[in-house]
Amino acid sequence: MHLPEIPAAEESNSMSAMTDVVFLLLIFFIVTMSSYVEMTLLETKLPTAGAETASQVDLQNILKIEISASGEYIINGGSQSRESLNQLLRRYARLMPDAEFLLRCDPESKHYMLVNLLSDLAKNNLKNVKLLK
Amino acid sequence: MSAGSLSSMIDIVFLLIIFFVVTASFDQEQIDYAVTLPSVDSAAIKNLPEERLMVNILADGSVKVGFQHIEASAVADELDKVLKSLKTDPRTVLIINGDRDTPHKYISAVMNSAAKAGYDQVRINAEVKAEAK
Repeated sequence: MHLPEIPAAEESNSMSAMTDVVFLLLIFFIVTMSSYVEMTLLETKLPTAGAETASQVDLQNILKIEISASGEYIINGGSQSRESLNQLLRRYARLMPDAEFLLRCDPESKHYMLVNLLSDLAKNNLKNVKLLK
Repeated sequence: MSAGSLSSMIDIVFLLIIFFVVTASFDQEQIDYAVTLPSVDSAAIKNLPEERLMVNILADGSVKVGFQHIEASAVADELDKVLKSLKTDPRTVLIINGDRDTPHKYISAVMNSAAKAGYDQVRINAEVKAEAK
């Protein structure tokens, strides 16, 4: 009896399929890994006119914090270090957690100053934060 | 068409499909490579909102949103229209990826455009410091 001849396996084909899959995985990992950064989101309200807001709320419950162009935190006209500001925020968190915090940034102040302040407020669980124009 | 050439064509088609799927979903939630996020030592909100639009603000004040690049001088006139066109859902949250050294006036301009475009919620993105993770 004459059996049909079985063709030999094509080595080059199996190799090309494997290369395709490897490239596919390589592209997938490059794309997903490069975009991974651990992030956190800081909440803030959109800028408001400020003056009207302030006149409606009890003044004792409002703390206005300004960020100067040189990167200082100013409260009631006095410059504060980040440590003393944190102490104040911890006191607010303990005694007046619902207080309103009005933030005013100098147009030339750097963005990270605002982010640091929002982070300190969030760390102390103070959520009533408004950004003034 | 032989089986060999068909399989390589299918490979290429799959590769293209994956490429377009990945880039299309990333274009609106990608942090631009030119933006260095400000780093904070504690995470406030870790979960990204389901409906979101990311806006990258570079240190020179220019804005990148989706595939569009808007110069700092044109932000006030153009950005609100772009943001409005990209708002697919009323619950969309605008996430600001501002470079740490961006002057606040540029961040403020983007927030104003967001308010004009009808965004209710704006969040500021920051990177969590490695030792705080």
